[in-house]
Amino acid sequence: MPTKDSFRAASQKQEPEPSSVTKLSNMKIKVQTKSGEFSFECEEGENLLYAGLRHGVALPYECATGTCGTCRARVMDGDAKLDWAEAPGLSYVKQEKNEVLMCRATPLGDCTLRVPAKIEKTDAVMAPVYSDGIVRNIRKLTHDVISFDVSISNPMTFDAGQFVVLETDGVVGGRAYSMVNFEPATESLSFVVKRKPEGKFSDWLFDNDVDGKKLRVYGPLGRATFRPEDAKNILCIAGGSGIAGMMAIVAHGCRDSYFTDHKGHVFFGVRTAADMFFVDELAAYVEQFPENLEVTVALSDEKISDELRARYPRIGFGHGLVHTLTSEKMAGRYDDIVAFVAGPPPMVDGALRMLVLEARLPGTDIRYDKFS
Amino acid sequence: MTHINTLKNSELFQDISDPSLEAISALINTVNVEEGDSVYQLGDDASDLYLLIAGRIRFSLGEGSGSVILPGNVFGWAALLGDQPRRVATASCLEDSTLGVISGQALLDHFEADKTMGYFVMRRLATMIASDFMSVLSV
Repeated sequence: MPTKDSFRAASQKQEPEPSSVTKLSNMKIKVQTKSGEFSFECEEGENLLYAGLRHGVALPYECATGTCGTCRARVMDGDAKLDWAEAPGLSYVKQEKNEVLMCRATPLGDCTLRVPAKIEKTDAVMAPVYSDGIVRNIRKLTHDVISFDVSISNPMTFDAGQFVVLETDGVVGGRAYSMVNFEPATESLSFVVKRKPEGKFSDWLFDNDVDGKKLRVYGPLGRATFRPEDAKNILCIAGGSGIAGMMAIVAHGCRDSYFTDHKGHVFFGVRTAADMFFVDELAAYVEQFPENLEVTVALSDEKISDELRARYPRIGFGHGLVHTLTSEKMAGRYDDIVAFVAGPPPMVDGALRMLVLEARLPGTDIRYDKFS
Repeated sequence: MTHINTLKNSELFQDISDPSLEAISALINTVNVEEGDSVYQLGDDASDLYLLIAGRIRFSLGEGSGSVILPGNVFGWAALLGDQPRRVATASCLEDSTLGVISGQALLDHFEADKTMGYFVMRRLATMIASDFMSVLSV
């Protein structure tokens, strides 16, 4: 962990540079919504979504990076420039009608937007902010999974299950990653990233010596969060690096002794034993609450060996797809459950079907964020 | 107002005769929904089938597959499945839209009375469901 002084030497300020020139060029954004009109300032080069959220205007979003299309808006007055012409989320907008994705649109002057949603002002204390970060402690967990920490310039408090957007000069656009760790007002965020074919950010991480490199961090974001006040049993279904947010949820639960009174069921799917990671950490959590916290690892492409079971006596193992294994193991055990789902899209879709049709959970008790 | 032509152009009802389409059309209640409104959300009870008459609907299933539904298309077919069907996807309006709402149970009753029509619609539905699953699996 760097000292404050070393951090300052290597990083910059938390907010975009408020120089006299950029200060004067801040743009005034008005947003017309179904719940009234809101206004905020947007700095030069900043996208509309981040500016709004940063000022506590709870604009609609899910991925915050151009994929899901949830942050669609129409520019009624003024002009805004899209910075990613191939953004998948653009399939939901009509650009000929001046519709934009707020997460990929920077205003070219004062703007009036129309957002077809009911929104509200949120607590500015919990609003996402920009931080400067430094990559630290890179660990290769498997042949295609890496974990790393990011030291941030100002402490961040977030809910377990939330994510941030990481941006680096070496890669165009931001990438959303859930935090693995959980502690209030932390100065270090932990992440896990699976290498994706042609994934620019994962290539940047895997192919370069990025220890000490600077990142820009925006967050926290995301609503698929663990809320202890719900006082429900927890079911986590994760595939691959989707385990990140679940680790934070379990960490929060253990930290608050939540599993003294509530059940926790974690199902973690990978292809083979060689693809497993965080199993030692999960076993250590189970060790703390063996009565109520259970973790099951599903291997989709490999039978379970006796050696594996012997190495992790606290962990359950099964062969098959993670949502199928969850269905088998959880049958009849869905009372008072809130479920969290994250992972590759087919796995998420399969898990959601299972939770709706078999477990018959209400939609409000199924939490997931779309940021593939 | 009759919706025979719209029904005829939809994938689900394309094999159905005009007299049968007329009977289905009589089951349709037309509703207008505003841009941004939700038609249904994950986990909702699935009692109605929808025919998009005008507008655009965003349809998304979980994290992977999303699509835009255009006029003339039918969605929400979970209403035709038995055993307390529920929504496994979400549907919301990308612009002000007009929906033809058809009670799933009323339609199933019609299929019961006209089994030939029921056979053709359910065969088409099976094809659509298989296609949806295959597109998810191929992601």
